[in-house]
Amino acid sequence: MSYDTLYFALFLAVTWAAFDILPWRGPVLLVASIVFYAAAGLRDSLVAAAVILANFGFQFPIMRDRRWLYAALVFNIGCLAYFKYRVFLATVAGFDVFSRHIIIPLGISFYIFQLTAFQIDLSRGRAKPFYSLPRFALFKLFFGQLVAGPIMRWRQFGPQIHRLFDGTLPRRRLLGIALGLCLVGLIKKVVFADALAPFVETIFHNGPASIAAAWLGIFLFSSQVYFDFSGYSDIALGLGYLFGLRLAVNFRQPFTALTPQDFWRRWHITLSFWIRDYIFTPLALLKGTRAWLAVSLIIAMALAGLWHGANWTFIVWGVGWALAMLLWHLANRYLIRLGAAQWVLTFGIWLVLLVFFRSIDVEAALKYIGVMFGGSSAGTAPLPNDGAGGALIALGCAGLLALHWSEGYLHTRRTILLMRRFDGLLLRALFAGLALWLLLLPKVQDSPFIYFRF
Amino acid sequence: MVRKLSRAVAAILAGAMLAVLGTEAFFRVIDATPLRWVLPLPQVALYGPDAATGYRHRPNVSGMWLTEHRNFIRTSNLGLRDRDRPLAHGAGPRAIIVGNSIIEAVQVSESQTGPAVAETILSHERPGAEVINLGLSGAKPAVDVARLQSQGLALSPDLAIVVLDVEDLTTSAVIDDREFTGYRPDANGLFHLSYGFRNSSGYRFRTAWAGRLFYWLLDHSEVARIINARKNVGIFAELSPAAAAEQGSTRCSPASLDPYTALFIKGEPADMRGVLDAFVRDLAAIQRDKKLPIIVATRAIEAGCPSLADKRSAIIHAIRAQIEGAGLQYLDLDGRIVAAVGADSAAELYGFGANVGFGHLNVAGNRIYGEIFADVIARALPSQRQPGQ
Repeated sequence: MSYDTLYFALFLAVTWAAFDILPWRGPVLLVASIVFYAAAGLRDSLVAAAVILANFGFQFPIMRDRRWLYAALVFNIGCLAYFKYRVFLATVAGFDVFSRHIIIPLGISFYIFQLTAFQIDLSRGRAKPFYSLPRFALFKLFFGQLVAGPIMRWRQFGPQIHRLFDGTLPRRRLLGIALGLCLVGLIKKVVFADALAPFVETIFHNGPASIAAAWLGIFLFSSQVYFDFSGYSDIALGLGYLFGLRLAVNFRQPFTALTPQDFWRRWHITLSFWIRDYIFTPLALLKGTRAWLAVSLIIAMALAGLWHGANWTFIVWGVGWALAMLLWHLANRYLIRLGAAQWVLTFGIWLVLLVFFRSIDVEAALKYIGVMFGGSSAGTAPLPNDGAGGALIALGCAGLLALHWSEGYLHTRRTILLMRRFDGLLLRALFAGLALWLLLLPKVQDSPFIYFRF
Repeated sequence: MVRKLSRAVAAILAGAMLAVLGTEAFFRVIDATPLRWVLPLPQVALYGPDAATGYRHRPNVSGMWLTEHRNFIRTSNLGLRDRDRPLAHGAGPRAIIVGNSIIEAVQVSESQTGPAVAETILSHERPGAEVINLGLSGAKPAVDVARLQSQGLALSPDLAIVVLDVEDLTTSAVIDDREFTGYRPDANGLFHLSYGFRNSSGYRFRTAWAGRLFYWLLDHSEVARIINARKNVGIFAELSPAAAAEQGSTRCSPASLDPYTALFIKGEPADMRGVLDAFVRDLAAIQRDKKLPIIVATRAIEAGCPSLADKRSAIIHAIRAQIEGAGLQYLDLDGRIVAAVGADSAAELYGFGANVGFGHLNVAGNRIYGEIFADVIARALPSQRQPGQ
């Protein structure tokens, strides 16, 4: 069930009404979340149910004996490997004994990571166990963060779930902000991400015919993937607020980052912090040398890449980011003298590496990057010429960056205070109405959220 | 209590009204600027009711077409997918081309459509020559005939080309007259044009004052177009996403011509054969009664496959025999296209962007169609039309 559809709006309205009227808020949200995920199909639902049940069971032995954590990790990572990576692993190993016709269960990367983080935190004494299966299930199944994150930690989300079931969650005072966030997310998805998708598809499918087309293609994909995923994340935040829950922020204007390190503190924040806390830091602590630190970073970022999909392109993408971060780490004193030019360098690295993220294989990515830097092109996709000249295209790209930059004003304390001041039926009806009109607009082509496939 | 409630209702209504105004303003800005080539907006609503065919282009409607390929489109003063022109016949010869969305070609600009290309080519040799586009999206054989009878003959043409998409003869939509003109059998099993749509509530609404108001709103309001577009696709259309376009090549599949062998050679299924016979019979009657030369061009009979050559040849022979036997002229459009561009390149005439090979004719495809039409028209028309003829 996708957030940018009328039937999700109907589902949300019914859920919200039931949540508001009935005294059993936790159970209402749990049932709604189960219905939400059941739309993905019986097979996906059974897989998710089995993983949640198993993890619920793992809590108790882990509290008694930390070694049970390894069993939980083997189970969780094993599930992920089986459902998402088995063909890739078999191909890398040089044989394929498995079927290639695999449909990856919806959101499996996200819920496996969230549950794994919970088990690790539990073993470290940073989380408390759930003695109630419904509470544990809602901890992972809440439909506002089930399919594509944010990947919530126990300390952020666990106590809220308990308060929800105990009836002690504060009254929802942020409905205006909640609807506003949903509207902003929908605008990002419907107005920008979906609109850019056909241009990106054409350039990557047919190949760029020129340097300009190559740079335009990857810039537009960069904007598409940002608007798509951050739009989803804004809606997730808004959905949380609608039910009095606070989810983690996943994006903080990543394209304004001056350094690769800064970029990863702003892009898919819950994933990058997960990688930092549960892969990089434990690895780095094994040895104290600088060389091992670098190796740890490369391994962690390669795994971050692999998390996105079973393809060498994602691994190259992750390793590329690790090398960029190492470069900044080693040459920081020189690079810092570049001042604002660091932004150009960081954004350029993002664009070049993103080619691997979008391409079907490494060879195609290298060819594309070759065209970006003046190599010969066998592609046929020129700059779009319908109603737009070069100057208008440049203006449009600048406009996309300006929109991104201006997003900073949306998340200021002043804006939030302003929203709370004017929050009321009129503002809520306005936001809900605008969102409804966007949903009513029929889609010209099917464009599911990009991160749903991860 | 009542006062509090009425204030709440007023606030909600005011918010909803502001949302309507905000949406209208937002899409108007997109529609009025180059943003319309990129950002979403409701698609133009081109069609209105017509007593002869069920639906047709409304005159002087303009807006963005979004499906398959964005294009700014404007219907002509005569309510056609054509340039503006007088209804009266000019000094040069006038040909009309009747067909479905392949001829209508809303995905490209008007001057790039097949008929427009043919007109440009012909006017070099015969100044004043006209080729008028009577393409209409979704038009089936019955609509083609009805459209030729009503809008086509009103243009006093010297020649008509009717493009028959043979795929239409494999679907039951051709014998359905609830939405538009169809072929229905009489008590003797003979098929005739039928206008059941005229009794439908939708048609009655569209032709009443409320319908006129509705079309006025469609032409003047983005919000109205959103509602109309949503009505057309269905409230929960996203629940059943359209099947992805076939990306694997189905060219030269052994069974691809079997339905046409059955229809044109064996006469099966009987109702489709009845429709085909009625279509040819009605066109022959128009040609005879109105003294209008008619060329029937078939398309979608796969050409350029060596493995299917014998099967195809037999089908074309049967079609040609029936059409020419009725006194009409015949054009094998697929054969001409393969002869013009080669079998391997024929698929590249369809589709846009990443979907080349699938969908409607692109600019190159329309150009090839236009060149073929120009050649056929030039051969078929009398060398010089005499004034008064």
